[in-house]
Order: sequence, then C-alpha cells, then structure tokens
Amino acid sequence: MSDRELNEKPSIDTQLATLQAEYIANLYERVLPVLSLWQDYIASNYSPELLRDVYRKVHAIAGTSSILNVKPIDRLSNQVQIKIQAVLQATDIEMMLIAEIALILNEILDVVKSGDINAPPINLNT
Amino acid sequence: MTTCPELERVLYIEDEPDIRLVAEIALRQVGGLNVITCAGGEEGLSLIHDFMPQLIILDVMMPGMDGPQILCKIRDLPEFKTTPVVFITAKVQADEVEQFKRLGAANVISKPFNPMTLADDVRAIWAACYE
Repeated sequence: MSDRELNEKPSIDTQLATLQAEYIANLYERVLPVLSLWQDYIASNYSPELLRDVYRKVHAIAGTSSILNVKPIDRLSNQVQIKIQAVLQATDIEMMLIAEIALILNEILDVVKSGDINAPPINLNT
Repeated sequence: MTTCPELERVLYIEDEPDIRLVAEIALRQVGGLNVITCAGGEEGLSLIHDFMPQLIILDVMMPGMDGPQILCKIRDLPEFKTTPVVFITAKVQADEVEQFKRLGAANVISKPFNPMTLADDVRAIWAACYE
C-alpha cells in the first residue's frame, strides 16, 4: 500500500463506525429469514433440524452484533440461543420455552423495525 | 526451546462477512499482519498452498464444514500438520477450551474480540507455540 493510499484511508474508528452503521441498516434483512425459518419450525411440528438451522442463524447475528457492539440485538439473540439449546437438550417439547423464544424473536423484530438501536462506538481502548 | 520466527501470514476462515471485515482491520491495519480472510473451509483449503499461512484462525460454527472439520482437513495436509490453529468462538467455557485443544487447537479466542488487541492476542498464541 502506498503512502498516499494510507493517507487516504479513513481512520480505524471511522471504518468500524461505518461497518456498525451498515450492519444496523441491514439488520431487518438479516432478521427476517430467522423469523421465516422459525415459522417453518413451528409448521414442521418442531423439527430439531430446523431448530438447529434457526440456532445457526441466530448465532451468526449474535456473534456479529457482539463484535459490532450492537448491544440490544447481542443481548436478545444470546437469550434466544440459550433457550434454543434448552429446547434441543430437552427430551420432550417444551412449549413454554418455545413461546418464550417466539416472544424474544418478536422483540428483536420490534427493535430492528423501530430503528432505535443502542450501539455505542466499538471500544478501541480496552 | 526453538527460536520463534516472526508471524507474518495469517489465514482466517469465518463465514460472517462483517466479522471478516473487522478482523481484516484488526489483523492487517492494526496488527500489520499479512492476512487473507475467506468465507468457508473449501475456499480456505483451496488457497492454503499458495498463501502458506504460518497460523490459521477458524470460526467454530459455520455452515458446511465447521471449524473442527476444517482442522481435520488441514491436518491431512503434510505441510500443515503442525501449523498452529486457533479457534474463535462466542462465550467459550473453560471445558470447551480444553475440548478444542484436545482436537489440536493451539488456543481459543472468544468473541467478541477487541479489534485493537486481536493481533497481539494472536501473536501471543504464536509465541507460546515456541516456548
């Protein structure tokens, strides 16, 4: 990379802030497939395979949200992961857990649709 | 004790595009490493001989081949039998770290990683491989 290219490149915190803003702007498109898959899971009469697919998608959102400091989505998607793991480990269908997962997924959708997402700058100094 | 060579080339396999971008900033721009990121195991394995990474970072949970499966494929390659492999995963528990080490990982980095210290963390793992 030349000195000129280096000088023209935005600062690291500017690049991270841009990534964070773009991620938040596109979150709705990322959350919709999770909800669709969740509906498929319910319609399938609780197929564990489909639930594992839901888990993988939520896990991806949780991981990216944590690194990009998108706090509410990080928190909610982690809650969903924990409850999905509990459902997968249970011997019987746990309807209460399934209802709780549905509620949290709806909460994620509400947060994303509201556009009011608390995302502090990615901490560069810790 | 073997002298620790300088770490220069790192391959990072991660399916999430946003995390790849943050890792590129962290490892290349902050850490000064020569890093190639790719989205999955097949892509990573296809370029491993051209790039000859000294250290490989693998996300654990990915569609298709997951991190441990990619590690097995890497270990099948004679040139990479001892190349340090680092797993990166969310909220890792102590027993999981030991499980990943038993699989052959040099260490585990937990998400969320700090972009300003990721390269230092990777270099520390690299140095520990030569102690």
